[in-house]
Amino acid sequence: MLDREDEPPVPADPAPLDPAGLDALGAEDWDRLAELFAAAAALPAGERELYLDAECAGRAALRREVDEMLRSSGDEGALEIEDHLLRWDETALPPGYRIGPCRLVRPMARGGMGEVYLGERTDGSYSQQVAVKLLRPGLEATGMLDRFRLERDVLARLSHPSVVPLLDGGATPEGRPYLVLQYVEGLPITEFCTERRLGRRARLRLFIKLCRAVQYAHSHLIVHRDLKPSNILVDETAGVRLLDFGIAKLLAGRPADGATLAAERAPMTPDRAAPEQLRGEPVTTATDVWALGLLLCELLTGRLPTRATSAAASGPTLPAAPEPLDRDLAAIAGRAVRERPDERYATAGELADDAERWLDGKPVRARPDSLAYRVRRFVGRHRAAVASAAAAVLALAALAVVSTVQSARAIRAGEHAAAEERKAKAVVDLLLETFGATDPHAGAIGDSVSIGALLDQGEARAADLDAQPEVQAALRHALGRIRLERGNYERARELLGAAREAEIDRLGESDPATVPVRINYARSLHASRLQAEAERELRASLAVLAASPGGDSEVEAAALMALASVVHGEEGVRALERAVVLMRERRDRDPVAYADVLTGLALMRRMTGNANDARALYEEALSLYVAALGAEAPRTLVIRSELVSLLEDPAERAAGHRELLELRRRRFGDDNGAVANSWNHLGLALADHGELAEAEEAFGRAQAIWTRLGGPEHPMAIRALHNRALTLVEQELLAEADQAYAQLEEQLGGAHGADGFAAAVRAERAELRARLGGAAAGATVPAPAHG
Amino acid sequence: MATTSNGVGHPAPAGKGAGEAAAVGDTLARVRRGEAGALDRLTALLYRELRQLASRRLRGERAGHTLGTTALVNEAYLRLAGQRKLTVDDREAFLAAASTTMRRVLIDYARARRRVKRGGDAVAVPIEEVAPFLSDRACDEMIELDQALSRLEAAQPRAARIFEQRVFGGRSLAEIAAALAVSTKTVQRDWDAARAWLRKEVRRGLDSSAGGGDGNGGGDGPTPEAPGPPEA
Repeated sequence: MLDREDEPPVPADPAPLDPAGLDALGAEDWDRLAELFAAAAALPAGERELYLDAECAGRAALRREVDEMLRSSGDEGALEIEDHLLRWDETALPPGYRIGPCRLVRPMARGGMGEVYLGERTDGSYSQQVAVKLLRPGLEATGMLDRFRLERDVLARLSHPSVVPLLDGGATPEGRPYLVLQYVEGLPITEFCTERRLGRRARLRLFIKLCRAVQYAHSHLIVHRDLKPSNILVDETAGVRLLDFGIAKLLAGRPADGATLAAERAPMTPDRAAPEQLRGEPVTTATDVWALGLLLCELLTGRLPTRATSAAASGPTLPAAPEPLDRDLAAIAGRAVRERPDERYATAGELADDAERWLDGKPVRARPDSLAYRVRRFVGRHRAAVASAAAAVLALAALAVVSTVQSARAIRAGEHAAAEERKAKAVVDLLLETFGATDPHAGAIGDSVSIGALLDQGEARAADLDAQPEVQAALRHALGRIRLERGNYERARELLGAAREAEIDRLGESDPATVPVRINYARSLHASRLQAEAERELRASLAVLAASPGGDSEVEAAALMALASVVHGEEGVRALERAVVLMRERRDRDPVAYADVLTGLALMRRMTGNANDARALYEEALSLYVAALGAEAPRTLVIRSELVSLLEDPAERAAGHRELLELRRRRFGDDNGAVANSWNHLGLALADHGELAEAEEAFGRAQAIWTRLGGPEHPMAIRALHNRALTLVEQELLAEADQAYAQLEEQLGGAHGADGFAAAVRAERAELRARLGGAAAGATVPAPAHG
Repeated sequence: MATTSNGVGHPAPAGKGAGEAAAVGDTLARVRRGEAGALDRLTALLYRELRQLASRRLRGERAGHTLGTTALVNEAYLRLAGQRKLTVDDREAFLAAASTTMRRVLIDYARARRRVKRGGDAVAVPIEEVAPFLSDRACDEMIELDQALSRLEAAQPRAARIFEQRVFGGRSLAEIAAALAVSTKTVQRDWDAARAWLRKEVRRGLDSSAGGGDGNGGGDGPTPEAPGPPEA
């Protein structure tokens, strides 16, 4: 097969290779060939000849093979096809190349996500060594950058010696996204342990440091999602440095050609992905606990555990260690890598604590003892759920109680103040008792189902408090507010209604101390679409306040805001402007309350078509919320959503809303009003961008959620349905559009039948039917089924 | 191990769309048990997926842009298996099959391209799917490479597998070392040697076919059947 005519004659081989090259070459011959080639290639060109002369003496065919291989190696020898397939991996940008504010010094590493270069950042007078991550092409640059901007303030809040900060980000002129990180010198934790020949205890101590750093980030509501040795460096002084916090999330966005949601959440590193990541479920702090558990296995045994093969198994099988793994350590690692997130350690801190207990020779929590373990496992499962859920509930409850205390204190300044404080303290104690005192940061991104169960528990508890009506009312008020925030309007109305009754019974209808609960009750009425009753309650509240001068301006402002959301229009704007004036002096003491009012006014201005005024107000509110509540608090997300909606470019808008949608789904679960709002906003952006089918899908999701929460006649469900109908018309799916309109008219037949909106819908449908008639004449569209 | 098949006829398309993700896990389990036909089925699933992904990517990108086999295989993995829990062994089987299938996708492109160039029937693959990313030269090289790789496979399956997984599966050498349970040093050595050896074989093959007209038996030489998952 091989053409050898042009070759010079060679002495006969004592053990000749088949002249057909490798056709008759066995594994041993290949090994010999590969060894020779490697050895020769490593030599300077001038020394190769001598070396091969000696090594291949008498084996001319072998020598020829090696010679030809040497001629083919190196960059010049590359085939074009290799260039197509491998260029990505084989090319590096030259030193001095500029990316954003950085000058590249040398390539450092390549990974699944792209290339990493050592760089220098020169901002005027000072220069700094940085790591520049140049991401793979194909990651959508614009979406990534939007997410980056949205996340940057969150990431900037992380300030921990073990967390390596993200400095900057952008896109190259070719559109490849890049990230700039502080440069860290160190070895991946696994390599560090091997190189230093660290013993088990020293490895555990490093691991504990790592867990503490992860815990720190979790307490700031940031999940890493992609913890693996290459992201965990250890420096000369055995300091642990964690790279890429939050970056996995930045990268987890939509690929350019629009894959599914599950793929969006797909893990960066499938081998290390937690079961919930593989299932496409939301990522929580428990996901990082999983990754830490894998790493612990790796540090102790040198290998990753084997994954479970069936859903019934509780977790992966731990690998056999070179020396038998201590039972307690195996139990610790095993607990961290349980299949179910809620069976794992609730936090990275708990995992560290258990490892510390082992170091101290104390019994560990994750006991291996089988019978006892099985019992504990059940308990542990509940504890884990309780711990993470309780934290979220407490955070909300604390807000509610604090605000009750503040209002109460201001209104009842004087003889009642002490009693109010005692009451408030009793409520806090009760909440703590009910939900269990925990680290408020523990698993702060909680499991919403368990939170619901906890609220039920709290309500049962409140029902038992007939002997302490004041405390009972305060607790119901707090729980009602939580229900309201969480979008459980029915339950909110019941709780707040009961609390209102009790307070009016106790204090009398004209006591301004009854107003806070009445405002919240009115909000729940409004949310349940009982507009007239809500308006009546609010006007009555404002009248009570007006009749008792020297009252609390915050309470008045709250009443005005609630009223504005019911009456809209000119009266709404006036109410809010007055509320802003009332609250302005409190800006420094109570920035959240002030920001609330600003938000209300901005919304109203925007509804009256004044987008520029709205943007300035939103931005002021946003900075107040972020500083006071954090970048992912429900209120903060509302403002972020509004600001995104004000963006001109529909693609940017869609990316922004998608991000917020994911955030909200992660934090609130799927059946939530805020999530439905995000779907609706996303639909609007997509429709503007011409992605009509996707837009229709998004509107459908919004409609379904609102229908579940508030029934098919909920105004938001109707709005989403209308949006969907319009999108169907735009897609020329006329029969389906007609079905949607039929449904719309049916819903509007009830409460809203007479208003202008209903009239507009009827006009739209008439137009549609006229077109359908024309189309049906052409016999291409089936007769619409009636909705 | 490397038997031949026609290489031109595409594997039968896998039936449904929605059940694929579910099907892939079962199929992998069957592949590992060595059930007859299981590998064909897996290959068919993969073939379709990779081809779709590849042509979508190629349509969207500038001519001459890198194909990014790593990204393609990863994407196929996520789409076909991403929502299922795969054992490490299943994942291994998947990636091994994906590398082989990617090779097959490319060789089919290259052949179709060559047929088009010769004015033959271009029905099998639409021209726009083939045109943008492989130069004529690269297509010819691909065909030679495929044959040389099969020869290497017969002599030293491990070296061939390393090359295949590196180039067509886009896996890193470290990953391959872990998968084949050999040292990274060995993998690096085999990779360097295989690459150099294959380059020389491809050049030689091209030189001889340039002299000898149509070259190797009409160009549609043997394509290796997909090998099973690594046994060593």
